Amino acid sequence: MKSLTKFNLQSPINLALLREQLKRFWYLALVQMALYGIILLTVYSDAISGPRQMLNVLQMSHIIIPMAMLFFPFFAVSAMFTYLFRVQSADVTHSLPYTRTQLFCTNVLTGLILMIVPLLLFCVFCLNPVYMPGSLGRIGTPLNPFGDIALFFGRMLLALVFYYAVYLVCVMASGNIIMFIVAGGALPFLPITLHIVWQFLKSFFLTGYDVSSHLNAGLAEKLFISNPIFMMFQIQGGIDMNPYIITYGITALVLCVLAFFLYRLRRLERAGETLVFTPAKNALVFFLASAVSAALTFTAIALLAEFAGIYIANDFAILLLFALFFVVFYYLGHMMMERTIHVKSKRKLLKWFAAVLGGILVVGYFFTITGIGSSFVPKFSDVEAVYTGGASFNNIPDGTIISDSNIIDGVINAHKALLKDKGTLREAGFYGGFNSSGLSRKYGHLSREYIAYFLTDGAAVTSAYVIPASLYESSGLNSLHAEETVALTQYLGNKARLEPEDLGAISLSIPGRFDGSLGFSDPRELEELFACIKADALTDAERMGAMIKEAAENGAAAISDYYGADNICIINIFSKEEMEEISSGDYYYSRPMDIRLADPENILAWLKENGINY
Amino acid sequence: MIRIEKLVKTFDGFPALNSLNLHVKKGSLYGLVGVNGSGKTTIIRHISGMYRQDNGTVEIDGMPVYDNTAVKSRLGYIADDLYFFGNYSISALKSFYSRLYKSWSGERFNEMSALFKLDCHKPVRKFSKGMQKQAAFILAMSVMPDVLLLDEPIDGLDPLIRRQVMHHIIKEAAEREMTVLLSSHNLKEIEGVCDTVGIVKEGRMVIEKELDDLKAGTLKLQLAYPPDDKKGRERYKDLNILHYEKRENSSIELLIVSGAEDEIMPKVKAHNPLVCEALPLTLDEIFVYETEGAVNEIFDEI
Repeated sequence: MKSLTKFNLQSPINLALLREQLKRFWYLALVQMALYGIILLTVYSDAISGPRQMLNVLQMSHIIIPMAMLFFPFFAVSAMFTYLFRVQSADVTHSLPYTRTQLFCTNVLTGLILMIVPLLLFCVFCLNPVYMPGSLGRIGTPLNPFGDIALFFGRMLLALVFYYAVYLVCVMASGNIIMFIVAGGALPFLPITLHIVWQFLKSFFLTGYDVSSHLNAGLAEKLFISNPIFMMFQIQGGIDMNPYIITYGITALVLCVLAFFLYRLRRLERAGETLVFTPAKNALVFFLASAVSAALTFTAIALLAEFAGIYIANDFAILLLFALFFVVFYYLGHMMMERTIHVKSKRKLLKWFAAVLGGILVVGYFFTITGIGSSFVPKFSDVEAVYTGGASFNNIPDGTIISDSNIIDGVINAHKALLKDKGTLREAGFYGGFNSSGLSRKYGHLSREYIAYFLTDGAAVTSAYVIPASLYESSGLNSLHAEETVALTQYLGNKARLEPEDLGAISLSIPGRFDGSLGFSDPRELEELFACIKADALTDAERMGAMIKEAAENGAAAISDYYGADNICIINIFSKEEMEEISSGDYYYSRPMDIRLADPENILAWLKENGINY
Repeated sequence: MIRIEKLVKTFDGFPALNSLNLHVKKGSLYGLVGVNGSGKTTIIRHISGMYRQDNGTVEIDGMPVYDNTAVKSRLGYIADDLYFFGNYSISALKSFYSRLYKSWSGERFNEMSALFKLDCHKPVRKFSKGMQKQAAFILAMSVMPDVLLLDEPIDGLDPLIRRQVMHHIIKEAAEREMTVLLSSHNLKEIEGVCDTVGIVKEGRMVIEKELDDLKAGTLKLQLAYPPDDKKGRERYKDLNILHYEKRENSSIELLIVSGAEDEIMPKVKAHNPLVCEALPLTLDEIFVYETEGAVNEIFDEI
C-alpha cells in the first residue's frame, strides 16, 4: 500500500488543470472586482477633497473590506474544494490523471490567484486618484501613496491568505457545506477559546481565580485577534506590524500544511458526511453532549428551585440528571453527525465515554474540585499582602490590601479553617451558584467572598467562595475586616510586575497639598522617582502595614481621616505598553499600577530637590 | 495487465471488499458480475485510482494505481453515476481532456461525435441520462485508453446505441489490444461481449474464469428415468451437483453439474437413463447456480 507521507517528485502544479480551473471560476474574480469597485467609487469621490481622505478608506474603514477578508477566501475555497462534498464529483475529479498533491496545490494556487488579482487591480486603481489634476496641490501634508497602498495591499493579502488557510483546513475536515461554514466561523476563535478554557481550569483546579490576570487578559486580547479582522481594525498608524505579519504568516502556512495532510488522509467515500474523520466526530459529539448536559443540569436545578420550590443538592441525583441528559444528547449528536436515527453501532463507544466521564467525575469529587474553587493556601513566607472581602480585588481600587504579618497569618489560618468545612463549602459553593434561593432557605444569607494573596514573586492569587454568612463569620475572616473602609495602598509588593525600564509614565497627586496631578515621563525623572516610591512603600511594607493597623484600631473610616489628607499620596504608574494604548486612544485596556502612600517622605524630598513646588 | 491481490476495503467497519483477487489479461474483455452491493463499483473505483485500499495490491502493468499519474493517464473510466463539471459542454470537456491526456485523439473524438450526433455545445448536464452516458463514452474513447473501465455502461442506453457502444468497445479491444473491464447486471450483455468473467459475492471473488472454461466446466443435463425409478439425487453422489430439480410425479430430472463433459457423461450414463440430453447453459444460469454454491462455501468456511 502506498505511504500517505510519500510524495511524488513531480511538479506540484498541473498546468492544464490550473488553466481549466481559472477558466471555470473566472467569475469569482469578477465579483470581487465589482465589490472592490464600490470602494473605488468612495476612493475616487474622496480624492476630490484630497488624497489623504482617499487613503483613509484604505485604513479599513469601508464596510466591504472586512466582508472581503471574510467572504472572498470562503468563496475561493468553496469553488475549489467543495467537490469533495459529493461522491460523484469527488470520484470523477480524482480519477483524472494527476496526483492528489497536484490537485491540492493547483486548486490552492487557483484560489489564491482569483483573490490576489482583483486586490492587485484595486490597489493599482487606487493609485490613480493621487495623480488626478489638482489633488496633490490641495494637500499640505506629505503623502506616500505607494507606501500606504502597499501597506494596505499587504494587510489585505495577509488577512485573505490567513482566512483562506482557515477555510482550507475546515473544508478538508468537513463533509458537507453546513459543517464547513460552522467550522470556518469557529476555527479563528479556537486559540482564545482554548485560552479561556485553560484559565478556567487553572483557576478551578489549581490556583484559584488569578488576580494577576492583567497579563492573561493581555494575552487574551492578543489571542482574540486570531481573527485578523479584529487586528486590522485595531492597528493604527505607527504600530509595528512585524509581529502580526510573522504570526499570521506562520499560522497561515501551518494551516495550509495541515490542510494538505488532512486532504491526503481524507477518504473520498466520506463525501457528504458531517465530519470526515471518525475520531474527530466522536470527540466532538462527546464534548458537545457533555457541555450541553452540564448546562441543562444546572439550569434544571435552578429552575426547579426557583419555580417548583424543589431543592436538589444531592450529588447522586445531580449526577444521575447529568447522565440522563448526556445519554440523550450523545445519541442526538450522533444522529446529527450520521444523519440517521440508527446509531446502535455507537453503543460500545458510549460505554467507553461513560466510563471516562464517570472517572473524571469521581476523581474530581475526591479532589474536592467541585464547588470550592480552589483549595490553594500559600505558605506564610511566600505572602507579602492579603485582601479579603465581598468584591473582587480588581473591582475595588480602594480595597484594603494588608501587609501586616499578624493579619496575613490570621487570614491563612482562617482560610484553612474554612476549607476544613468541606461539606458546607461544597454545597454552598457548587450548588449555590445554581440554587441560591434553595440554599438561602437552608443556610440563610449567602455571599460571595474573596481571599486574595499577593505573593513575593509578584503573582497574585484569589480564591472565591459562595458561603453562608454564618460560616464567613465563624471562620474569623469577618473580624479581620472590622474596618472595611480603611484604605491605604494597593498591593505593596509586586516587585516582579514592574521594573524601572518598563516605566512609561508616573502620575502623582497629593490632594491635601495641591490640585490636580503631576506627570513625569522623562526617563531620568522616572528612574529617580520610582526609586523614591520604592523607598517609601515597596521596601517598607512592614511600616505601612503597621500604619494601616494603627488606623484601623483607632476606628478611622479612611486612612486620610487618620493621617490627614495632605499626607496621602496617590500614584499611578504606567508601563510603556499602557502609554502606547493611551496614546492610541485605547485607554480602556490600560490598568496602571495604583499606589496610595501615607507620609511619602522620599517622594516629597525628591519633588523639593527638583524644584517642584507643592 | 490488471492485478488485484488480497484487496481489503472497509466502510465504517463494514467489509466492502474482503481479500479480493482479480486478474485481467491484456486485451481481455472482462465482465464483472455480482448482485447489488457485492462490491463491483468499489473494485472499479480502486482500479481507477479513486479509492485508497485498506490493504492489498492494485496494479496495472506492475505499477500501483493510487496517486499514479502515469497509470491514470492510460485509463478511461465511465462511472455508473455520471458527473460533469459545472455547465461544461462536450467541446469544453474535449478542450480540457485534450490538454490533460497526452494520448488524446482529436480524430477519434470527431469520429465518435459524428456517430452519436450529440450537441457538443450544449451543457452536458442538460442531456438525458442516456445522452450523458454517450458523452462520457465519446470522451473516454477519445483518450485512447489502454484500459477502459465501465461501470454499468449500458444502463439507460437504447438498444441501438447500446449495440454501437459495444461494437466500438470490441473493435477497439481487437485493434489496439485495449483491455476492458465492465461491470453489469445484464449477464446477456456480458456473455455476448466478454471473454472472461469474474463473479463477486459479498466482497470476494468467488469465480474468475474465461467464459468458455466456465461454460465448459458446467453442464446442464436433462435426464429421464423409468417411472418406477425412485433413486433421485442419491445416485449422483460422485458428481458435483450445483442444482438438482425433479418435479413431483415426473420422471424427468434437471441437473446442473460442475465439471468437464467427458468426465460427467460416463458417470451419468452409468445410471442408464432413458434420455440424457445436454442443454445449452446461459451465463445467467451459471451465475445463479455457481454463486449459490460459492455462498454455501463461504458459509462453510465461516
